[in-house]
Amino acid sequence: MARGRFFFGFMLSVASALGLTVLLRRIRRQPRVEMYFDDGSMLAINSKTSDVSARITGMADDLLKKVL
Amino acid sequence: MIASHLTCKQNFKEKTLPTAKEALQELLEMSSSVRHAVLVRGAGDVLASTFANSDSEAGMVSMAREILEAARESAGGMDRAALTQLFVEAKSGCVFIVTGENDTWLAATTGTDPTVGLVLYDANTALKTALEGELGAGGSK
Repeated sequence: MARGRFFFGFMLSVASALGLTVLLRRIRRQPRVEMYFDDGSMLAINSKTSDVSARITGMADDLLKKVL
Repeated sequence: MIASHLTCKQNFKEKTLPTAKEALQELLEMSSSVRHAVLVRGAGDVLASTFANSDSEAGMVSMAREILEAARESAGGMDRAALTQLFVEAKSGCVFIVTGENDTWLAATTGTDPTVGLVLYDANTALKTALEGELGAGGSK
């Protein structure tokens, strides 16, 4: 019984870790734009929250399709 | 003797200051994730490029310029300082644009998952090297 519970707990932890990894990778790979400015500041915007970013990533996709 | 010294000096300058084309080749060697790069002044004066095909080169220059203008426009609307570097991660890869003096800029494309900081650093170095080389060549004329 105790062994079964331990095994269940172990499998649950492994599944959670895997799920978290997949989720983080998906978040990281979202189309995004990072702008770096002369004063040292940086602005990162992702395409889900910004029309500007969606437009720029769309243009980048067109460029990449043409050259890659 | 003076003539040979001048020639030697000129050769030294030529050897130490690479051309724009050499700077781009060095960028490709340093950053293995970089697939294509163009070095441009203004809207379309191509100083160097890694393309063998002029159609692809022209396409990349005009599209990268549009991206740069769109980013500058949006940054201008947010009262930000001048845009110096731009990184765009798209579905099929990434586009890097770095800007330099006298409206020069360098655009590079990579596949997915590049090391962003390293590519930006190498692109900036290539742009600076190319501009220094151009200044050196201009000065030695």
